[in-house]
Amino acid sequence: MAGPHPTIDEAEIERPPAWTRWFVGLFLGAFVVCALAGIEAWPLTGWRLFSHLRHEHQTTWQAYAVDASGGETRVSFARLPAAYHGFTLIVSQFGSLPPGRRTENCRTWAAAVRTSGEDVATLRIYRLDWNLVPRKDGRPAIPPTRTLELECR
Amino acid sequence: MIRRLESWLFAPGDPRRLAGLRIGLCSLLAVRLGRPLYAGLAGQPRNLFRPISFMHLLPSMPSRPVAIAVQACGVAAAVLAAAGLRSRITLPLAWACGVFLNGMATSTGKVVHNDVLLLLALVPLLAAPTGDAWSLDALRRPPAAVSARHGWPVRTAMVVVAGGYFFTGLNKLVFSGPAWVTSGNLRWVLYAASDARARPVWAAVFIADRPWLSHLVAGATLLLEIGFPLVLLRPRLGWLVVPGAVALHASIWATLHLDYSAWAVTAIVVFVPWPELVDAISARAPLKRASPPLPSRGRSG
Repeated sequence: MAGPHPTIDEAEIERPPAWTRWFVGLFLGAFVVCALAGIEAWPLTGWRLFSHLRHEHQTTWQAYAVDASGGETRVSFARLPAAYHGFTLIVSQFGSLPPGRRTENCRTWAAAVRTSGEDVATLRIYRLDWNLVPRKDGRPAIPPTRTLELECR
Repeated sequence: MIRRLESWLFAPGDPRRLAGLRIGLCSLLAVRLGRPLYAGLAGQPRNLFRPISFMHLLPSMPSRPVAIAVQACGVAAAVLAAAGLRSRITLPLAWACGVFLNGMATSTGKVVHNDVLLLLALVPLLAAPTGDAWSLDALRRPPAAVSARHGWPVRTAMVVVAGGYFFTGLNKLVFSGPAWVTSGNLRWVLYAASDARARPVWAAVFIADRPWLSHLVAGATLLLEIGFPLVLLRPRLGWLVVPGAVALHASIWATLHLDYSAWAVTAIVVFVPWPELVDAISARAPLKRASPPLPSRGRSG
């Protein structure tokens, strides 16, 4: 499939057509502008990957399915379809959502967990705060503090 | 400066180098689009939909039949484009399907960059004669000559890949400054990633437990990202920079369990001089066949 190797002597010496220059210029221009201005005109992007400093203090959220007897089981969103994998990202923006929308989201997750076969009387969403150090056996030495953020049926 | 950049960008190029990009990037696209991710995203309840960019045009995540149809179309078009069958049509079609499906993936609350370098590196190929060599279409045509038409798509893709790494590094400096390397930043990233897992991630904890090693890894990462465009000025640096990028993505997988393999493969496909590699292999092959068998070195006693 390789075919005979063309030589540089055969190269066309004319300039590429004007539309090619415009195409390349506009594309690279948009690429650089989005990168410098942090514009997410996806697939053009601002290239912000791990660009902000992380700190020793961490906050995250976890959901627990509560069964009829009151027992709690942590929800593994990784076992649900990819549509539900954004749990932590969406809960982290709860502050900007009205209470009705938060409850609506909570009920959606509860329904998804029920569909997966779990016994869910209610779903509890906890906020976890912890310090990454000191460490013991590869884990934080001091367990996270847990605060109930929301509960829904 | 602009004139020099322009004369470099639009200099003649080997059609086989462009074909190497078509084969490599479209094969990678076919593999990426074949993942079950998109069917899993389809049919997402509307209140969880967080669209960005063109996904704002849709009221919710597309349905499962739509996602699967686009996926099948994208994979088929990418395979045909890689083979070089009607690549003027199949390549843009595969790219459009890829943008749509990855638009779904990036509409779940966070900008997803895993496939963005691949999709952007493919943009110059959308308008290029990628099927002039090493393609099914080229079998029916006389061999294409080295031409300005084949040079700019390859060099534009090189600028995109180098730029992707550079701006990723630059933003670390803009938003965090030297503290991205000198503070405990990388340790906290690694510990947090490990703590999010059911069991500690050995590689992450190993680095994070050793502050000097964390600083070294952070410094090397930033140096690689910021320094990546040097490969455009000194192509020989590719032998250092591209394996460095592969090592970076392998270490991200080992420590954070994040899949940036598409970045690594894109960098390899775009920066490896495929015609020279093929010529070197085909020059060796007849020699091997022609050389007489080596005499037996068995012990004669």
